[in-house]
Amino acid sequence: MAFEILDGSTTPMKPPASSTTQLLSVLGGSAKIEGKFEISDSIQIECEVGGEMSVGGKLVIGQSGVVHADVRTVDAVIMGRYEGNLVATGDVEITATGQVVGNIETDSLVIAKGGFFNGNVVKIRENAGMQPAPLYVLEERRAAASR
Amino acid sequence: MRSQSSGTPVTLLTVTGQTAKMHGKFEIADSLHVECEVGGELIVGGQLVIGERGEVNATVRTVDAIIHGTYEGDMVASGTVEITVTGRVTGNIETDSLVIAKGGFFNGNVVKKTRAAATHVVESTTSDRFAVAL
Repeated sequence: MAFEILDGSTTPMKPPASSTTQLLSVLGGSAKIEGKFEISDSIQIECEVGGEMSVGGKLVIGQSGVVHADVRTVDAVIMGRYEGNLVATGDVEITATGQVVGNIETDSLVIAKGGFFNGNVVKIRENAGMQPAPLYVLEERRAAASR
Repeated sequence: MRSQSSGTPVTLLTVTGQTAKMHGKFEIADSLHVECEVGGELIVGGQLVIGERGEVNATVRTVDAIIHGTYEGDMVASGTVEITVTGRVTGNIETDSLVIAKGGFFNGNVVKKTRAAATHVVESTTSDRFAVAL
């Protein structure tokens, strides 16, 4: 019988346009998500995700992330495992711990030494004149020779 | 807030930005906080929090749930369900403990989960055990 108005503040807080609001967060030991994702900004994944993903900003697959999905994004940083078809209008980076199997469509791909990639790379703007964005495979710390 | 996991909570998934829309099957061992549109099926082993800006249209199985936003669907909660001042719920809830704060909106059925289970249930099968905070 208590007058329990939880969460006292009822002021509707509309965040400013440029802020990075947390829209969804999953905490805990394990999580498995499958479905269709439409995300206007960015997503960081440290669990199992499958399906279809459309990201308006940056997709980060963390070291413990396992993603089996078709992805459209601007930028992607892959530190974990990714399998599927990836279309990125910005940069794609596969870090030293990243493992990618599938096709990547992008103008800019960086694979760090130790990173694994099996599949095809296609340039988006094959003949869009001007300055063709370089498609390159960068071996990080190449001078550090073989470990 | 109860935490039943042994270790410190690890962030498994974070979505940031202005809008996000997800539909599918979510199996989450611990907790989930939603401030966007989510549909489909959610299985949560801990606490589901639907924030003020959250809109969930899904079948949910969880332990605890706190609803500040909009929820539509069928929910089974083995723990506590709380609909706060800003919460709006349409659908069916199966739980032993439901709290609706003044201003909170609920349209649907409530079913008691453990009719005969002897946690601290006596013999009432009515809904008088639901604490509705007014």
